[in-house]
Amino acid sequence: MEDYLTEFQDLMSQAYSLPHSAAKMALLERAAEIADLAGDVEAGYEAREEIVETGSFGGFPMKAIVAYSWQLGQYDRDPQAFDEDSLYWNYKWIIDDIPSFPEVPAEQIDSLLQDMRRRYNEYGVSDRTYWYYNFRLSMYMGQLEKAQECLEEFRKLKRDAMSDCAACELDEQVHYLVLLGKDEEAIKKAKPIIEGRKRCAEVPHMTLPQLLVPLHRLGRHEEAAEMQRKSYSLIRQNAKFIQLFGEHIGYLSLVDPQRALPMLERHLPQAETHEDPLNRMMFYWNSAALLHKLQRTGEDFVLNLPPASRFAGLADRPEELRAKLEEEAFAIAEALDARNGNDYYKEFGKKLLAERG
Amino acid sequence: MPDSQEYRFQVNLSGMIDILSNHLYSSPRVFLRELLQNATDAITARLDLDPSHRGEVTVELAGSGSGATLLMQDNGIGLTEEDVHEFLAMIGHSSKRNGTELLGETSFIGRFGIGLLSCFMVSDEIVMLTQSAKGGPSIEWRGKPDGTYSIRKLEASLTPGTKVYLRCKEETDFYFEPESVELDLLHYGALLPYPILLTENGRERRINPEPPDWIVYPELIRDRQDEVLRFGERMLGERFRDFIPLQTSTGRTGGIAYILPHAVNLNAKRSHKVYLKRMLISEQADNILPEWAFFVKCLIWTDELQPTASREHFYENEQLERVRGELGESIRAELIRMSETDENRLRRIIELHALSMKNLAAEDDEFYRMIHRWLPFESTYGHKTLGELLDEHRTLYYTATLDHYRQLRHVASAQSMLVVNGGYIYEAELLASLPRILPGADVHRLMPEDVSLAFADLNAEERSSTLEAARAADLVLQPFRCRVLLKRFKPEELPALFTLPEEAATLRSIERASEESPQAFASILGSLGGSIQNHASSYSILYLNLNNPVVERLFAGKPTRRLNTLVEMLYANALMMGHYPMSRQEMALLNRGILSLIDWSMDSEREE
Repeated sequence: MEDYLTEFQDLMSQAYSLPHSAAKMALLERAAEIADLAGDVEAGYEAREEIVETGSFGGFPMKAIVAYSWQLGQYDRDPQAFDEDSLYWNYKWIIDDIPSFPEVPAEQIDSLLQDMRRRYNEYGVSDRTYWYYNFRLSMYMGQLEKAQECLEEFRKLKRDAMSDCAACELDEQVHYLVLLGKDEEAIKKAKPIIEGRKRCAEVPHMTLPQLLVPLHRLGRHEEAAEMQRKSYSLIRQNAKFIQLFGEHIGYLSLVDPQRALPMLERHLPQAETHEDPLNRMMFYWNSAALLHKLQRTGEDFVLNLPPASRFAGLADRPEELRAKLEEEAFAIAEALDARNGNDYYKEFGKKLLAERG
Repeated sequence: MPDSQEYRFQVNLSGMIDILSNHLYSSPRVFLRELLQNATDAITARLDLDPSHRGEVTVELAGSGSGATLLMQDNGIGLTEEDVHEFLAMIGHSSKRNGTELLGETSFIGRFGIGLLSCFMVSDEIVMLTQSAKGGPSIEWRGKPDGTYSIRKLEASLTPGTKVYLRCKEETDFYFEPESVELDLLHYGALLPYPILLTENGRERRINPEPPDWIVYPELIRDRQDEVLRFGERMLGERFRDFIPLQTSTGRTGGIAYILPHAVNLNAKRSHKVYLKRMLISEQADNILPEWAFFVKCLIWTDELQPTASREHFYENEQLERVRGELGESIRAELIRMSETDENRLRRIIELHALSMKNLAAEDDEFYRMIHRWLPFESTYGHKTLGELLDEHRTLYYTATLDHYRQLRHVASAQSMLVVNGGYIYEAELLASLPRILPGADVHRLMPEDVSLAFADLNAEERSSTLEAARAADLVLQPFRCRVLLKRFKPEELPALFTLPEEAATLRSIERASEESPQAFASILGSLGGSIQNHASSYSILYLNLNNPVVERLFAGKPTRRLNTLVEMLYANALMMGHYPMSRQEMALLNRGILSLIDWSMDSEREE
């Protein structure tokens, strides 16, 4: 009965050699299954730890949430058996993705935040991370005023062992300024990131795409063009960044729509299968804006969608494709708004289409 | 009395030095690179005046420990008095703006100044003697890190060129040791086209070998196979067996892409050695080749790219994008050439580096068209190349995930279906786009629910005779959201087959996790699962095989009292055969079932 371990380790080591991707996820899920079949909780936990990471950083938030729930359950049953530090650290990745799913009610999100707060307090750190994630989640839920309040609470407290890295914290604050429409302030705040003085595994990847349209609005066209190249080469290989591919498409729609077409062709199938509806919505809106722009200006263009896309049949009918993408994006927006109790995303989408389309 | 003047930098020099050493350079050892760079620039400038000039750099070490000194001498263009004032002025000017302007400086004089300043990382005084090849007096400059310096015109006239003296400061004597100086000079200057001589204890030796002529005449590379491979081993520290020459259309960037002799981890950092104007810029340049080129390790020389301020990387700009594209094109063209002229060589490379080849093919149709026959795949017909699979002239089914492949493999094999595992990275993508590069290719994506395509439906008579039992069976598994369907399929030894559409698989995993989760998470999983549950495709399917004698008996005539338990057991059996982990509920069902079977078997014994 020991031979399951050989197979388990084999799968795990194959997985380790791969970048975060669907292939890696498939290997890890299989490894978790084998561990479960053998009733080996320790191995199951190890595989899920990797699933959580791959899911959080490779674009499978749902799989990450499911695996994490299981891990946390095992931990609660036997806290001595598992490493608390990394488990609690990963809580942040999980909670960050939850608001993307409109079917999770606001009360449940809040009780999750409270659960994290309680656990972190027991772990011995301050409320800083709680306020920080409350800030982030409020922002994602279109509650910008609440986000401001949380941000102020967060700033009162000192960094501790559960704090995100300085680059990530800065990135989220830049993101906030962009959402508030404070272009100039956002770019000023992002300066250490743009210059490479503050960086980490996901910064400046996450930051730069959000700054393209603001730079364009400020008339800083050359900076925007240079940043676009640099930024895209940083993120293009990771399907996690669907929303950011959308930002690139939206920006190029303003300055050079033809260059956005290959991006649409490449990333649309990824967007369709992306587990995170919020990411999908943003990508669809920007793609719809691009198609609208191309039609409005009457440019000749060819769209070559791969057969893997369920929209492949609409490649020759861009007007229908645009309408379909908009419709699906607004359906997600409506569901999110209903949960959030506002009309933030619906308005967001309208504004985006008007500006970039 | 010779003409001597005391000056003071109008700058906070220690601030500049701090910027250089703490924020710009990765290590103090780069002072040697900076000095070598200055010497190289000066020799290049002199060659512009006099193409027949023969450049040379000499490094002299004296003393040891904390008394060590270093002299670097070049026979380049040298500096005039105005030049010296100019670089000092540039330092002064840019120091008022955090020094950042100076760091981006690309002119000879501007660069010269930064190069010199970097020596303060290892020396508390810099003495420079210089004589311009354009004439004028020889100049001596002495600078200190506190910002004071003096300039003196010398009476005697030196030969043209520049000498820089350094005296090691505390705790930097390591950088003045002969072994370390020799290594660094070779490290940075291995490709320089003129000799670098090192003198210590009165012994002089040449550090850098004569650079190979094929660096200048790339057309020679193909005829120097062995030499090029040996060169690669010396420069990159690995024994290679194959390489691809690189060249851009301008001819200003060239190199050798050595094929890595082992498979590579896709996560590994690419580390190519890149020389700018023959000076080493980086050993970790990862942005000079396209991402897919992870099966090669390169030596690259260029004079058309702009280095970053630290001179350790290149700016990501249009120029770099072009060079990257063209170097990639060199590799691509060579692979295509191999496919036409040297299949075995290509096959060897592909076997080692299938993943990156697939990545490249997925991004580039033309490349895919050329190479598709050699790409390896796993299939129900074994591990074969795509060419061999196509030669079967059958419909090529592929699965999008490893899981689907594992579920379908056995049924498909029994029915001689040709199913390719598309679950590995890039594979499904490649198979999906096969018809695009190979018109008429008969390729279909196979979903777990599609196995029913290959199943025979029951005829009308069979349907009506099994109808009642089939309905009853379907009801049994409702609580598990599993449908029961009766079919005929091969192999007949297989009584039941469980298939799980994607949504059902997600739901299944959510439910299993939910059983184990703390309250706050369980409710969230409930919400996530709830929205999926409403879809029809969230049902799994249990196919029962009427070709199997036991199943046939079970469904003949009226449903028996024991039907429920028996269907449940077939369900549990199919889960186990398909390697699906079971939920607690399902485990309980299995336990109950086994006990019932034991019970019944004892009953029947008693009856006998």
